[in-house]
Amino acid sequence: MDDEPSDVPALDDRPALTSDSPPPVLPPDDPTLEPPPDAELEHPTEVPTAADAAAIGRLLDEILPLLIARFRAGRMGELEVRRAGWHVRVRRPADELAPTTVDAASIRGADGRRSRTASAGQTTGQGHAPTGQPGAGTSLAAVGPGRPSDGHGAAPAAGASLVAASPGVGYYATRDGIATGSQVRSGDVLGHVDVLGVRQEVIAPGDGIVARLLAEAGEAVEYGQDLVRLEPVSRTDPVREA
Amino acid sequence: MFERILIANRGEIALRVLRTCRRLGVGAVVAYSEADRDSRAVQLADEAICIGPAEARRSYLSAPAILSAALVTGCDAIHPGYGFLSEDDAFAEMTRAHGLTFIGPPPEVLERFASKAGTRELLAAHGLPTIPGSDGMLRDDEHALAEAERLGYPVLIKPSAGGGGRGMRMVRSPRELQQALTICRSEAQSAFGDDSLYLERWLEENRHVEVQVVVDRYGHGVHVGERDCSVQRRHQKVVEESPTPALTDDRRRQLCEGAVTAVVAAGYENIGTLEFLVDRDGEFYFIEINCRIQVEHPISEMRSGIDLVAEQIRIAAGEPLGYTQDAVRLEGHAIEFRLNAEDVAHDFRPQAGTVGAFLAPGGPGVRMDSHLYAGYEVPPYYDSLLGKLVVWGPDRPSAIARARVALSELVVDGLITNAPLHLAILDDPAFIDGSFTTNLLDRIGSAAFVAGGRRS
Repeated sequence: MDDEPSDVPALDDRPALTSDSPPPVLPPDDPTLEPPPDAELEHPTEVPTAADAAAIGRLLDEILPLLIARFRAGRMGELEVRRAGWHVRVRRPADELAPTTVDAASIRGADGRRSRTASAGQTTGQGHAPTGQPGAGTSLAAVGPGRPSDGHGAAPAAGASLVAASPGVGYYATRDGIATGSQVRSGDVLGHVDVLGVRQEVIAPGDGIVARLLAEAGEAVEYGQDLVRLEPVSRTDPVREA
Repeated sequence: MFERILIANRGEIALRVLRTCRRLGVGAVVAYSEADRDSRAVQLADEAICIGPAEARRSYLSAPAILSAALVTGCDAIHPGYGFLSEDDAFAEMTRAHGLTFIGPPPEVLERFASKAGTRELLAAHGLPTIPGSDGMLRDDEHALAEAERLGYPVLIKPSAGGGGRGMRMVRSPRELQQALTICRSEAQSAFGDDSLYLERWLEENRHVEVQVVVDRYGHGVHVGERDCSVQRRHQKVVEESPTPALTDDRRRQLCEGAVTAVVAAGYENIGTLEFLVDRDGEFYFIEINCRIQVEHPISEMRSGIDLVAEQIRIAAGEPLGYTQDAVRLEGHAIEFRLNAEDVAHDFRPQAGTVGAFLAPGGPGVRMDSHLYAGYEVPPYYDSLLGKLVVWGPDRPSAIARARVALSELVVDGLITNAPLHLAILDDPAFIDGSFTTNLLDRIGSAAFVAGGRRS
């Protein structure tokens, strides 16, 4: 039941969803919501451009709070998102296995230099813990090539496919009516995994058309296993570069 | 015997259990979290299955995920290792309800020994001396203050559930007690999901000595000697050895025989460890039982030649013990050093990172139980144990000499470890002459201890 769709707003324009994790649920009255973590902002150039300022604003106002919410909800150790020449990393101290506070959130420019310190102004060290690697742990490590942003972010790369992953260990079944060619929307239930008699839903990670069913009914599947591949269709129909 | 065992743990203990499964010819499936995909146990397993994300609550602590993994991989038993669900009677019960065997005590035995206060009463009734403690769980601050007054300060606040020093505090006054209760409650709640606390009289200058027992379901039991775990940092064991330098052979025999007699009479089953505090006069007081394999089990294995994991599996499968105390021969002296990813210079801050090189020491009487390999990334989500260096010698001085050689050979690149602490311990006069107590490190602080060792 942990794997209900989250009421945390989606990072709808993240470059690629590379985490297998189902969206974490933000507890409604999480007692662990402490004062905001120290955030540190770093910038690639000495003189910020207007686009950079917009990006910084967006990072601080939209992405960072969202990441922190997800991070707290998911009890992850470290979370990193790279986009548009920036990466945002939220990290707990490694000595807090069941932590209640977020240690630090840092936003760094591509070259790793600091240009501005936000929030409480505390400088966080370059880290006693390593940078999360894609695929290691539950970090949302959305790594994409940075490119200048006008504040609207990058659309998913053309041709990239979305994969619905297993929310648990158990026996898989595709939902009736879901087959190759079915059009689905983000959040739709594509099937379920029976975990000791409890059905856990397999959720579409984005809008798309079912390209391939990767597991058969009755098949034993593990957590995070790819189950349904989707060809993405853009929800907001952004202007794509040729 | 079982056909196929699901190993529901990680790190060095997953590897340790896997090795015994191999030797017994039993299939081994390793259940792992996403953070442990590249672990050594996963690489060596007959089969490995991902049970959840890094977060332990949704992987190694998730009973449904582990049971489902065991069922879909065709296992007939689950080995829980230590920590996580290893002493959870509800999990053991669920395991049985799904037609599988929990490798450890049966659920009703776990339940009987689940409460520390209840266990002290039970084993006191079977002849073990216990340390004076509060009358049951603390109901509120008022009750705590009254009980502390009755016991006499200083007192130790302890959580009913769990272990590893979390939720534990020694206090010397009513004022300290009141402050610490709140902290201990919240620590116990977050670590074990249970905030009930009790009090024990604090023994100054005590030693922590525990007895390893092996008991089958037919009422046959032996002990495999004692282990001295007095070298601790903030209630966390750092170095363990067997036998303890603190007891005469007569007292040692009384302790070990008393422990196994009481625990058999109380209906215990499978392997277990009874922990005692020993005071300056060699008096011992039972404090708690651990119903699982312990981190420091290898020192008992080195002295006895008994594979304790194999005994655990055999007994869970219903086999009789098959030997008596006379057959358990304890020889020489063994010492274990817990190698942790901790920065001694920075308040023992846990480290995570990628292992550049890993070279384990060797030679006669040296055993290294570790899951490290060059290129392995130590994840930040779990405890900081990287492995255990275990040395054996015909006597204590030769074991210490081997430990020095072995520690000097050990190479772990890319990660800061607590090896400097071990080297300092080996140079400490109180450790060398065996007179140390549980405050060896905390009396002056571990960092100061290491610095002092380096100077001398």
